[in-house]
Amino acid sequence: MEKSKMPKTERSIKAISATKLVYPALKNYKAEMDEGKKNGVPIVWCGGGITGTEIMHAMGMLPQHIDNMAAVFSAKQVSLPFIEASEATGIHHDLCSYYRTVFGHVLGTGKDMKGIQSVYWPLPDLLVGANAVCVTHPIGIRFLERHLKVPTFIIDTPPIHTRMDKHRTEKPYMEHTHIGTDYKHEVEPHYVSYLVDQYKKLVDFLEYHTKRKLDYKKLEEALYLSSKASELFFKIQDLRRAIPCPIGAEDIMSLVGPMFIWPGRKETVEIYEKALLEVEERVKNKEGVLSDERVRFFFEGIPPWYSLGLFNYIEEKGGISVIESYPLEFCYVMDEKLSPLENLAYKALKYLYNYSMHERADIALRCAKAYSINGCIAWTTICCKIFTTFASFLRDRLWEELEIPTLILEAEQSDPRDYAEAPVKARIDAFMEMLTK
Amino acid sequence: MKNKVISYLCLGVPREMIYAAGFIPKRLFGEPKPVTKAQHLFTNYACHICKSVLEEAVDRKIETDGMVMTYTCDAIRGLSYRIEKERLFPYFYFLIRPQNKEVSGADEFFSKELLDFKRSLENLCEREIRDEDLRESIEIYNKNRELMRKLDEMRASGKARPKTFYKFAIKSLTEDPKDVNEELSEFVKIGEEFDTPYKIHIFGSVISDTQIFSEIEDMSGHIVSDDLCIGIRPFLGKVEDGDPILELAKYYLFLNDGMLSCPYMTESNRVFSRFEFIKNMISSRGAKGVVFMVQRYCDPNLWDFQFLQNRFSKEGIPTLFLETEHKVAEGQLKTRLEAFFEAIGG
Repeated sequence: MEKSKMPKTERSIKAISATKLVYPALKNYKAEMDEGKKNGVPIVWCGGGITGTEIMHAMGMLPQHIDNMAAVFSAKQVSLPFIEASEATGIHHDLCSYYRTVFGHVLGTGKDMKGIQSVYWPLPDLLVGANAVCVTHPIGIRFLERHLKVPTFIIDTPPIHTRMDKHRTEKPYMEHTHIGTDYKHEVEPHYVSYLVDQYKKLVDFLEYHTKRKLDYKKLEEALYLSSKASELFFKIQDLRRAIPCPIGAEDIMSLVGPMFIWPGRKETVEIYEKALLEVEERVKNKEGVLSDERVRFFFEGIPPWYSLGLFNYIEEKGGISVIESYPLEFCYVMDEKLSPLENLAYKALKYLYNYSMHERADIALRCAKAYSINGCIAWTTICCKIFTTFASFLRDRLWEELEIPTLILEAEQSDPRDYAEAPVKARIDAFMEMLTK
Repeated sequence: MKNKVISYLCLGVPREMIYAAGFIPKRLFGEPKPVTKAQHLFTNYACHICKSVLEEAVDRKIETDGMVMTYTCDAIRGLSYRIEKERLFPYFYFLIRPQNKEVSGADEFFSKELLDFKRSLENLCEREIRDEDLRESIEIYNKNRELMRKLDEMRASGKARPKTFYKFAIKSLTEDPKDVNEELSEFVKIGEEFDTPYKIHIFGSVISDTQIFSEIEDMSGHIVSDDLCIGIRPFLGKVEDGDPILELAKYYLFLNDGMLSCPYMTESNRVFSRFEFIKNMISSRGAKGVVFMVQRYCDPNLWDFQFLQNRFSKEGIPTLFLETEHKVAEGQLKTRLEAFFEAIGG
């Protein structure tokens, strides 16, 4: 097929060597999926942030996320023909570009494209969706179900009602020093039992369709590895408070991949252990991405995956993203007192995007103090209501409470047609100039 | 007659509970005019309804004693937090609701959320909302549904104008249902003669510019059926007798007749049910084509469209896609409708 012309965008340059382990690990996983497909190992496509992937790993299945598949196509600068193939079937341009990309793949787009075989994901035997992040995910999974005609399970994750945000009035956000999403937050029992029941049904669904039995010991092991990886990831994040900051967003946005796809596998722990050692060493040696940090940013939203080089551009101007909200969302440290399914229920309910926007903004405000931030860059991801409705909200909270300015930029996460590099760079230049005067 | 008003967005809010608390539930549709402040305070990439409601609220143009919203899409969820942050209404409640009615226990979960909503309303009205208050309210709204379904049949058979149907639909969603029922009871006894040639079904999202229904009639169009949430959908089924909270939970999740969920719901058969509903309407009421009228950025409806359009195409049923923002019936859209009517024939 004729390849559509991709607009010129930039890949990023990483600071630490552990980050360079992620893409080969992804390619290995893809090879494992191909081999598994031949040998009857179930492939599960997941959409919706938290979808019980630890259960799938414990059952020897091979899950992969819609978001990650699309992001990889995008980072490889090949998403556009996939998107165009989807739109040719009547999918509207305004809809989630992750699903527009992946549906293009389902249609068989680009299979002969040079260099794509290493990430050309095998089609799934099962689909699992959830609305922990947005309504689009389960709707998109249902959409794929109609075309792929494979058994599908949807997990309904109700957002945490703001009546449970009691600590926001009882304790100001400043008292929460930890970064991440697993801080103490009231969750009413009917929310937990609603999710636990659904995870039991998910296990039944997976067992029925794959003829595999879940060994709860293996699930406990998977949860241990998931929790361990989360702890390591949080430690790396904590070390980024150092001045100069040891690693920037260009590394973190790649490092988040293993936690997303392989919570519950040892590869994730191994990569994070190596990353942590490197980051610790850099902090010890006062080695930063920049020797002279002029601006330390909080980064909100999903980056345009086809142009991660933008982070390097910001660094050239003396700015660095020292903490980002998106990579924090997938981590959850398990509570040993809870059962495996209760832990998974809490992981879904305490997912960053399952909290109110007040809570999401609180996290940024906590980071602002802990990470010595003096600016924020928020991407209003055009096709994603979760991000596009939050950017202005965060801008106002940061300014009203801490007088930290925010630059709001617009782009699609996976569709490069809606990205205008020159105006984006011009706005970054102007913002940097304002902050450094 | 009640005087106090609580505004709400979306059909997922149980108006029976608001009415039982002594308030007239008044649904908001946004205003058919461009917005400016909302783009700064919210986003450009959400539907006009959300942006317009925010703009009107910021400008203090919504006369109301409170506002209730529910989780029916991500834009509405985002809007709810902005409204909370700015304290734009004297009372505000955001109702959490399940989005997959196939999950066992969804009705029980929703009942617990409705009980919290009831407690919140009780704090507002400073009295207990008794089961008998709820039952009385349910009876009034069930009567309203029954009358509206009768009117729906009349508009299909040319005994009531479609614009009259939409007038009463909007009144039912925004005014005291007792008064509306009285007026409606009188109207359905008499009806009105109506006959225009171009019979269509309308599907899509909420429309803020309700003038379009009159415009279609002026172009000799006859909307014989719809599956809009400002059309027949609020009036399908009934809330059953029994524990009022549990029955309201079931109604607002399952709609009892199980035919028409909002497209944000994620059960497996939903879009197929929608297709069957529309197909049945077309065959039983003689529509020659379907017009998909959707707010730009209404993702749940846009996801349905690709599937429905392809299915209608296979069935040989003509479709017209009309994407709207603040206005519907302007220039090009009107021309496209006229061309569509010519194509489907009278």
